[in-house]
Amino acid sequence: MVTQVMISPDWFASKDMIIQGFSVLVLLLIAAFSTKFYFLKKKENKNYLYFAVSFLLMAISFLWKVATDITVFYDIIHTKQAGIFTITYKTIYAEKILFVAGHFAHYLLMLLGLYILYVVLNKKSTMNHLLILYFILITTIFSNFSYFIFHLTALVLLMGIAYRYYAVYRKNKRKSTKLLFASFCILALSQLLFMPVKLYVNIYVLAQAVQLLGFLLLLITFILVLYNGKKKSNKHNK
Amino acid sequence: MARRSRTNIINDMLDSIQIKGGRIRQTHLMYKANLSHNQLKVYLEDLLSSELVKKIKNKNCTYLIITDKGCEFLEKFRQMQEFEKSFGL
Repeated sequence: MVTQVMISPDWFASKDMIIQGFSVLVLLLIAAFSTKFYFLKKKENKNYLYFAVSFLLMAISFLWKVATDITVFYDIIHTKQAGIFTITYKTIYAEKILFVAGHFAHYLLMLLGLYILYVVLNKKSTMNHLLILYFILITTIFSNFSYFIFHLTALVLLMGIAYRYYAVYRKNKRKSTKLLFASFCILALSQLLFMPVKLYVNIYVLAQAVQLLGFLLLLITFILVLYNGKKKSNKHNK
Repeated sequence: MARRSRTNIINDMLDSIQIKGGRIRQTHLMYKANLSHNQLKVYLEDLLSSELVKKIKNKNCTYLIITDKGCEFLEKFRQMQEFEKSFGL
């Protein structure tokens, strides 16, 4: 029963929460700055707001997953120590409901966040948002039966976002946009690696490591963007 | 050419003052920031009331000086522009 609840290898459980915690910090940092810029521009450019919302949704999604995993992980340990069969059974049953509900929210928020980011980057998009939202909901429901569907959808959206950044890079030739393209490609690769996790459980560790690399690169890019802005300002001050 | 937003005009005005060493005459600012006389009056009032610039009198001339708050605004604005261009917003 226990191995059905947790996908991660036993020795890696709880370490993946640290990686997800780091991802939450990076996402919240970018969301916070985007909100700040939205107010600095006196609400003239709504894209900043949508951008902040998309990163915030992704951060909440990871936060939700971490909270669910922490509860499940510690309850499982508690159950192991208790060692009474009837109580253990009931606890795991309750955990499974919590696990499914928690991961449902994680899937939904993550896909919504990625979709909003994709729409913000595709300014001339003519897609029917209601229809897409319906597909996201359907995907989320089916992801609870097979997590593979969630990772496949996330992969498609991330590839779309990476492609948009490549198009932006071809126009502006900025190093920071090139790094953004690279970080979203790495995040897309991590989703690809998450897909066969149930077949080879150890690939989960590699997928988490690749995801960590993607978010690390995103953080570096963000710091570089702020540094470049400051550098320009200092040049003018001299 | 796209119409400039209010924030962009304020940035252009502050930028023009900073490029001129932090001090500029009102008429020069009008030309440097590409503004009409009426526009200048409106936006200058905004800048003065929000303490991004201040006026000083030197002999017969009135100069506009960028304040620390104005410099801070410019720094944030440049970071925002960099963010906007890099993140494709």
